Amino acid sequence: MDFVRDVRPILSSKCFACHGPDAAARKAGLSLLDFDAATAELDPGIAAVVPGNPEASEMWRRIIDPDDPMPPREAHDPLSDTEIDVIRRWIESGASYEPHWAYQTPTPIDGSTTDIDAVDELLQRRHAELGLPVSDRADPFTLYRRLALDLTGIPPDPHELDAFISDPSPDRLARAVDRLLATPEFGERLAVLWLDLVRYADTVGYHGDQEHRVWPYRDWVIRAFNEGMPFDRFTRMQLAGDLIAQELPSSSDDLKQDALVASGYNRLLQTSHEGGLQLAEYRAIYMADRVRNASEVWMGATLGCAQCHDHKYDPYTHRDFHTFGAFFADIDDEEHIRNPYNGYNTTPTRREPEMRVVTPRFAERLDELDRRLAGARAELAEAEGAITGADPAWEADLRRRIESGDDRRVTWVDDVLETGGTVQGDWTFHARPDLPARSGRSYRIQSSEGLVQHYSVETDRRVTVEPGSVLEAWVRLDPDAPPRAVMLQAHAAGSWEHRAVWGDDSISYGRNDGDRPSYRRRGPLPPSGTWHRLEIPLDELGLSPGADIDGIAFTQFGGRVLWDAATISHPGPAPAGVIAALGRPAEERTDADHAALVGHRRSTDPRVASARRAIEGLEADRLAIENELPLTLHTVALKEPRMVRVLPRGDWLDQSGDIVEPAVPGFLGTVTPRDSRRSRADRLDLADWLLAPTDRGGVGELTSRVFVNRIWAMLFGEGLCPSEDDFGGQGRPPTHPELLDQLALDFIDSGWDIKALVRRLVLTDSWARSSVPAGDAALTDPENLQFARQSRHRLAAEFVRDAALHAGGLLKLRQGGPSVKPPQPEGHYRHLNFPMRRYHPTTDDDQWRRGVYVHWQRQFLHPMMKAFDAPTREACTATRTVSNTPLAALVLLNDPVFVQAARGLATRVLQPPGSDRERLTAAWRIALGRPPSEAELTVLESLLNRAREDFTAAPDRADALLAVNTTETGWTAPVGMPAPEIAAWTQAGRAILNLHETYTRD
Amino acid sequence: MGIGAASLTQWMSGEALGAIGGGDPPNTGPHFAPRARRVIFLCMAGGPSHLETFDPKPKLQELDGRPMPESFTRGLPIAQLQGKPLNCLGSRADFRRHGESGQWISDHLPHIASCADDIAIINSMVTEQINHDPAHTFMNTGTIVPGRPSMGSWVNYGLGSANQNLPGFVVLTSVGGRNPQPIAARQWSSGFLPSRLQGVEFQGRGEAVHYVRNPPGITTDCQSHLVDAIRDLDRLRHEQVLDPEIESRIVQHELAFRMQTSVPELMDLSEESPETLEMYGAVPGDGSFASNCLHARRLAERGVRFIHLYHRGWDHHGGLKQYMDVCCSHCDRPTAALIKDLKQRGMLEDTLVIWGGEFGRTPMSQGGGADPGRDHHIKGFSMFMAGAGVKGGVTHGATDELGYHAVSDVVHVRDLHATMLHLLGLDHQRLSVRYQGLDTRLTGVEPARIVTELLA
Repeated sequence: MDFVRDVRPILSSKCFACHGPDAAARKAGLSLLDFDAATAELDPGIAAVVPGNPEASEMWRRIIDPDDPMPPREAHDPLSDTEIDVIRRWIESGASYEPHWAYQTPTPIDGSTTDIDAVDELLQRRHAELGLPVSDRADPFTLYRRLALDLTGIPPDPHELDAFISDPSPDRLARAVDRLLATPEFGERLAVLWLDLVRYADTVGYHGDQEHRVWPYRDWVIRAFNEGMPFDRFTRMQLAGDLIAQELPSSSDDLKQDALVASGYNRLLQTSHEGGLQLAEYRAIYMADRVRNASEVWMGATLGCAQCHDHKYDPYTHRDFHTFGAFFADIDDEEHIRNPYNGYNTTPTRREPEMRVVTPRFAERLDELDRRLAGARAELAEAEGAITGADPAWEADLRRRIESGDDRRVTWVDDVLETGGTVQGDWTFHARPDLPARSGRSYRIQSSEGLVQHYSVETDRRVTVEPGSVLEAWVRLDPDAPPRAVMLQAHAAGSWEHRAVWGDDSISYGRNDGDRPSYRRRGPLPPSGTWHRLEIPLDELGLSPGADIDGIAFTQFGGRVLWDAATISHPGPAPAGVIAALGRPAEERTDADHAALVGHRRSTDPRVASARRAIEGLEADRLAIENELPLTLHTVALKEPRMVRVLPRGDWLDQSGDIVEPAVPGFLGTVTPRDSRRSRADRLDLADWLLAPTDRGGVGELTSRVFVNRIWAMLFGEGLCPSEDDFGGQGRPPTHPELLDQLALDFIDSGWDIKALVRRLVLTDSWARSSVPAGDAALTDPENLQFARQSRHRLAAEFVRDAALHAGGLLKLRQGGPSVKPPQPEGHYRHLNFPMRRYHPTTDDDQWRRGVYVHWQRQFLHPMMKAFDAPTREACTATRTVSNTPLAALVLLNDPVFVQAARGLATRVLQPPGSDRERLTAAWRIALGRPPSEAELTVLESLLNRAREDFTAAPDRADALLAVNTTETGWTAPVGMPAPEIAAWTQAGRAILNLHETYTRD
Repeated sequence: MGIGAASLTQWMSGEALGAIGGGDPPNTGPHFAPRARRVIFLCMAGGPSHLETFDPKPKLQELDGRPMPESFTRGLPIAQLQGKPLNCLGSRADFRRHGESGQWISDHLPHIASCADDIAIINSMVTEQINHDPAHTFMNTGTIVPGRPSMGSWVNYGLGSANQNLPGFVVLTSVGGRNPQPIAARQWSSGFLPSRLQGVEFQGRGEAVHYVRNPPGITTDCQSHLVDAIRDLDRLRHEQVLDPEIESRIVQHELAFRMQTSVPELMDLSEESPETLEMYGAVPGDGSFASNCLHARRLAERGVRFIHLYHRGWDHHGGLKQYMDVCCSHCDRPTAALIKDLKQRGMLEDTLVIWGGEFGRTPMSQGGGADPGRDHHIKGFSMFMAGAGVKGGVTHGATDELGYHAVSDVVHVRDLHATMLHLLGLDHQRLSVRYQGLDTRLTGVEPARIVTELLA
């Protein structure tokens, strides 16, 4: 009789709802939470539990009361006979309580006597006690394929497998493990597990499900696993990378950037960009999401269940939920709710704050540009320095040009906004090859459902209005989404009342009935689908010569508009001051006249101009590169964290609750700020607490158990604690608590070394067993809770894809970068709006990259991924479900990607010479590793021959099948092979790529 | 015999083996004799105005253009009208009494009005979520906590599948009206229930189900040979390792192959009479709400448990009059045709039809101009139910004199769920699954009431 394993789960599920931690829900004043409470006198002479004496225990009397049994009938959840028996025996044996296993400090196993790993020792001891037959070691084909799939997620090539099998050395497995752990595919494999937990996705999740930009976080995770980052650092970086970056010396830009990218963890939650959101409501939703996730990921805790009331089964209180949430109250993530109409209904959307990430490839290019910029600036200084005093020839030339009357055009913005001042809106510049810019190299894309405005004001750049000055801007209206109106607006002398509108009256700013400078109607919209220059003489906007323009705004209502260069063009070839100075004889000129002339000469000097152009060009290049730098969500800590109140019943409208500060759940101890000058603990303190062992005031052993259990489940099919997502009272207690404890302690001792943990586990005898049950083990241990055999399970969706692409010779192993979009059925995104969505599949061979890089659209996951149970990542997923549906079969049968993989597999075996049987064997082994049996070959042969007849009779159908294509580059047929033959082999390939075994890790 | 040979008769009657949820035994119920065998939920996504459909308010008409009394709105959540003046907007529609029961229905819905004696109108609905996405999630799952099963999955979980060859939960969507709000696949997710219970979206045009068509150049025979070979190879493996998942995979592959024929057949409306098409206003292949209503009847005939139609176009922040005309022209006739068609086929007796949006619209106006609109509203709105054990010709509950708060016989979304489950023979308290240690229900932990007044 073990309280934790046998009794507590019964009390927890059947009694605690009314007699558990939630004081508010407690009935009859009885708590069964601990020994003292359960044995306390309720009424004179009456106690719920009288140790050793069921008949005297009120609890027992009520359980067996035939008229009014506990739990009450209306709960519809009666105790089973077995459970009743357990309760009786528990009371008889003294009703001992022990604290819940997960919250006890583990003790190391003493006296390990053998030199085999504790894993094998502890498991085998139990097998012997239970008399459980143990499966043999798996055959080498199975073993190596298992290893490759567990460590990299990709099945092995036959030559790799053969090398392993023919290796006679006793440590061949250990060497294979080391080799595979060192491949970049290891990090990609582990990332799939981690990204599910932290709910990483490429879109915001709610409402319009717009794309957000956070893939550098995904790459950071992969790199961290590959570089062997210890789990404690891995944890700190994610929860508090921003705080770590602050403490780094200023010279360590790379480390800082890494820490900030990792802090993107705090931004991975689902957000909504729907208009009309309530700030307070979403503040509560976001906080709850972060509490739920962090507690599940690191503590295996369902703290999220205490959002509205005390936890029903674990000692978490309603207050704990809010104090835990207060750790995250400094995360800046509300701009999109505060200003919902500020262009957030675009995709990719913005989610301030975001940062640019300098990847190594970009860093080199930037350094090179900076070197060249320094050179160009020196040249400019020299060229300008060469121009002093008067130059009669130049003056004569200028006089001539004044007479001829050329225009002068001053650029306000083109390719880059360099006006300085207060900037509003998105100033990202784009250029698509199919849609070149009108001026310079790029333009802005402004789109919205309603009013959208971008401007800079109180700028450093000033443009003085001259007689006849005209404000201009290039626009291109999208013919599929024209705006209702566009507007140009200038700011001068503190006033924005200078507007020109094209189109209808939708823009409300300054709208009035009259024809005034504050709202000048300029007629209909320009034609769409082509570049057009909007022009408005500034005097019509009430701006007289001499006015200083220090702000320009670009406004539109609805639709999609490309905005290119905005300029102010002055008539005549020189400013009035220069012309006046030129009109005076040299001897009458003032200092100001000389300065105006030299200034103008410098500004028009060819050498100066060329140096300036060079600088501008290089600066534009630099900015273009900076604009190309990937953006990513990261954490910025607010100076003043948001106030967190306990929300009664989780109701965000109820502001009557206590104000709370960050704290960890009370029964697990306290957290102290690492800096004693601060009273408020922060996220780094939280991370430290999660990692510090009990004797240093933390819950490190719990955190270690939770993670070790996940790795165990990855390698053995099920956790030592089978409820990976719940280490609390309603979870399932570990089958081998002493083993879980030992592994957790060893993991901490190893310096939280993830690769060492994986290596240790796959080198045990237990991991290497066959998955076929020995003797009657399938009957005596149907769930394989004793691990007397290995598990067998279908691959995760990403690895189903990888396996098929790999077999077809299509898989591209490249690390990192933006998510890829494999082809998907037409119309899959038709329900998305704000904006309407069109899927642009990746058409180059990036589409053959691994599943971990596939674009993750939370609302409409790629149908292939969905069919194989990839989660939407709306919330933490600790264990994926494994379904077996016809939708998955339809993917394997008909998805053009799988057809191409089958064609690729055919091509691979057709290239070298060989008989049908040799080729079928080769194809089979590429996908499955092991050689086919005679019976299997016969089935394949017969399919092949039938398909040959079929396609030979209808070669046009063979052509049609082989024409399936989703890349630009297409596919090259093996030389000298007729289409019907390749098509027939493609059918054989399709059969192999539809087998259950192909996608099973055995 | 190749598996392609399962006959259409077998298929229609669901005798062949296995399905997505197919062949599924009930997990919990029915707990008592059901009145309804299936549900057709007509979701008017965006939130139709109760004030232009089923809930006439003369007092609101009187106050048209005048400020909304603050006593109605103080301290309550508001969506897009945050910080804007709140003025009354009288109904833009005329109302009349219809049928022997004399139910008030607006002139926007003449066809539904002709079913007045068959429907039970609820004028006192309330929900808790004021934005579209969470409001749909709330309507479908009873909570906004992510990862919970939607009602179609719950019903299939409780009752199992009645057709061995089709999913038990099918979703069809259409658009028309104001800018359609997005709708997420989450709305038909099975959450933590087995994924075979998820809603499967059938597309009204194009490929009805993803990847249901053979690759180019592959004939049905060709595909049949392939599926036979896969089966033989999977069986050989099964003999070696005795893995029950392989048996299941064989069944699913065969079913997938059958669906390749049967789904297109199901979606093919050519066998429907011209009169039927005319009654619905359906043009085969147009993907309209009218065609989807006809598909709904065909799915109901085949025993699909939960058929969920969405029409996305009811978010009338502006142009209320204009877009009510559009939406009603798309939805009114087909809805009525579906009720009448089910009735004439004797299926209305055991088919529950539910009509309504994720919320209603404010009595206050939004936007100016000649044709203003209404904002989202959750404190009182209208839905109706018909068929299977529901009283016809009754109006239940009421909002206050301005149509703001539901004030009498208030029906919460939970109550709607409880009532729907009750009609299906399911006790909402017993239809529960343990998830993360909690007994989780569609109706959640707050009390839910079966609206007995609506039961025949």
